[in-house]
Amino acid sequence: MATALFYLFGAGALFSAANVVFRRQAVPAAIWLVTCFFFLAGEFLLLGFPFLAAIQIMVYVGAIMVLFLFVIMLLDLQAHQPIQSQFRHSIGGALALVLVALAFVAASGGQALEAENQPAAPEISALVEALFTRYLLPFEVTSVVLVAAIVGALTLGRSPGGSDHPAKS
Amino acid sequence: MELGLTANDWLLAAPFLWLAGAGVLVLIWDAVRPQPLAEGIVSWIGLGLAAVACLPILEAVRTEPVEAFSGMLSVNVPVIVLAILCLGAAAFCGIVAWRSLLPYEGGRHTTAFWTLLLFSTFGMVLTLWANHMATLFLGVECLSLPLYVLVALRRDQSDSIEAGLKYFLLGAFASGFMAFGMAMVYAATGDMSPAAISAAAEGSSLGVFGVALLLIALLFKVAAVPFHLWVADVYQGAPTPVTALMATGTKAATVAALLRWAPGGELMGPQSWAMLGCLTLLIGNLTALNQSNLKRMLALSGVAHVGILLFAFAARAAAETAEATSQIGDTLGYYLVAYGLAATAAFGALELLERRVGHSESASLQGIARRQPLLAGVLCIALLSLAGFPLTAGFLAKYFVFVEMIRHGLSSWAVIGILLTLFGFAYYLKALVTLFMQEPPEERPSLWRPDWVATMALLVPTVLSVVFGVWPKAIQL
Amino acid sequence: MLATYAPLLAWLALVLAFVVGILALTAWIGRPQAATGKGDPYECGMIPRGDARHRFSVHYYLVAVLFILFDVEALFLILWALKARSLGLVGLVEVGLFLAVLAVGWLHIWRRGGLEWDR
Repeated sequence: MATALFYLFGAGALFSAANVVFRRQAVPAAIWLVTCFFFLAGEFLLLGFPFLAAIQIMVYVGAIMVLFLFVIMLLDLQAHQPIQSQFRHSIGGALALVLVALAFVAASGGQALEAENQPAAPEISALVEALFTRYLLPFEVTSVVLVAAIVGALTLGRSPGGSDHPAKS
Repeated sequence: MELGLTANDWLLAAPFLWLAGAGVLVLIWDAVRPQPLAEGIVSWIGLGLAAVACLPILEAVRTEPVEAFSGMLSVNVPVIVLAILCLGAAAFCGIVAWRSLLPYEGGRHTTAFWTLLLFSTFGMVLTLWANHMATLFLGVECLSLPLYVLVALRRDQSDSIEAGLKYFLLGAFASGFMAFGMAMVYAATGDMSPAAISAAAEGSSLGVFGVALLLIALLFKVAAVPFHLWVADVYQGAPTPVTALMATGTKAATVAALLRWAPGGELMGPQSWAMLGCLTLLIGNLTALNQSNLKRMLALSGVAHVGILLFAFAARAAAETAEATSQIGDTLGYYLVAYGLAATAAFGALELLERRVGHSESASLQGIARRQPLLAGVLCIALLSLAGFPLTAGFLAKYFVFVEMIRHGLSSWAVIGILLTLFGFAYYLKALVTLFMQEPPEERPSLWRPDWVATMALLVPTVLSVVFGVWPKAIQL
Repeated sequence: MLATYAPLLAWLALVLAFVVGILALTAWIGRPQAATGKGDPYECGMIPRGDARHRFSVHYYLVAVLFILFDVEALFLILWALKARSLGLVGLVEVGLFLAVLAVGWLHIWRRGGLEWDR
């Protein structure tokens, strides 16, 4: 049952992802991405990582998709102007796909890719324990990366011209 | 719960604390009472203290590498020297940007510039010291993310925005490769330390594929052929002080990361590395030859330098003893320092020229030797060191790499490398000829104010290029 | 494994049944009639004019990006809150440092006018 569901969700995720790529309208493509994220969250649940599934929905569906939609709004796309794909771009994409597939086959030597290391899904408390002890440095560095992103977004996301500092104006 | 931080943890964390602390302090200062000068001074002090904090670590690692944070970080001598190089490049970037980049748009980007500069340097040091995939990924992200913004900081120039967008899209793509590769390597081996790379490369196909993805991501970051296409556009479009930082700091950090995380053995043997290096050197030199823009030319010459660095990787793959491997690590460190110093000086001089003539086409060099002899001298030494002329650090760096190649049985590749290097002299000489032998078509109006602070700062990497060129022991690798 | 999520599935099924049920009931009980204004986006109030597809202010983007960043912060806070007691004072200091750095980021947004709409 679990295996069947796993393949069902996998197929769903692939189908949605293909739709993201091949849709000509940007907004439906973004909505298909939401579907894809939901299927992936289902996969995480089946693999025993409910926390990851929750993050997937909270952050990706809840926040990142909203950002995508806002960006689409900024781009001023018209309903009668679907995204045009050029023939040579399709050729390039197909070529890249074939190359990656070939590399995959060459690397696998024709065998199925099998993860040798299949750790049991950890309890959430073990995850927290690791985050605050062994992974303390990466955890604290994350805050620096986030602040860098804040400063960057504020620098680039403002209209040019004029003073923007209350203490200066 | 116990905190359980050891003395080593604090020792290695000190530079990060100084850098992050300075960045945060700049933000607080700006929020309370904006003062561009104070923000600059805080940043320089932060960079300086971080460099000072590196010195006790250098003493501690003389005998053997030091690990900290339960294996998250690990440092040895070359890595610390490169960290100091990155800090110096960041300080230099700030000095050169002071009169050109910072006053733009009424100085409203000053705070962002300093914060992003400090955080990017933070990322460089973290990338250099990372001994775990989590820290490596965070380091590379923390290095790149502020750089995407710094590259696009000149929003009144479409070149700058274009460069930022290109760098961001391709860089984000490479980060995706990196995360995917790491996940596969972890799935195959259950380990996230550098040892996992060789284990995965020799193990299952899943691991091999993961290692390949990680390798692609790192080769993109160091701009090796065929992942070099972004370099010329990004280096040209970025504000020149930022380009200097990218050429020195980013290159040093990512090449050192590649050294630690690159696979060897059967997957990437000496021949594969040498072939990759040869291709990078050839294409870098060929494309640099055709550039009329000096920033593009120097960007592509940087690609050619990566080619020679990859030759050193080939020698390391062929090395059998641990001693030989560590010696090649020192060679790479020396090369990166030599290249970084010359590139810093060259881009810094170009920035001063660009202020004078408003562009960085090669015509901007005309007549500089007569009007600005000091600037011309700096540029001359920098270009000679980049070309690999004797008595400069660039010559010894190339010499050491080729010696290592011959020592480890890659003589034929070394010969090809030397020939290609000699061929590369062409475009450096072309620039020098323009610099010394051509006069501008007409006298330009002299609106230009000399920036003595930046000119003095330029002398530091220039003098060091010569000092390390005649006395390589001074670098203490 | 799968049995753990049985309540979740039951809940999803209930939600679905509720939605379908309500829709079916409205169709059955209600008396559909074609009246003027039925098809308008708003049955009362202003009559919308023009096209909704125009270029929106870049400020939406800024708000969304800042939202994501603090969303990620909240994620780490959830993890800490789950084990706050056993992590104790050390955990509090660790998460406090994390929050302090982000608080400075928030201070920057506030002082630079990122929270204000029309700037």
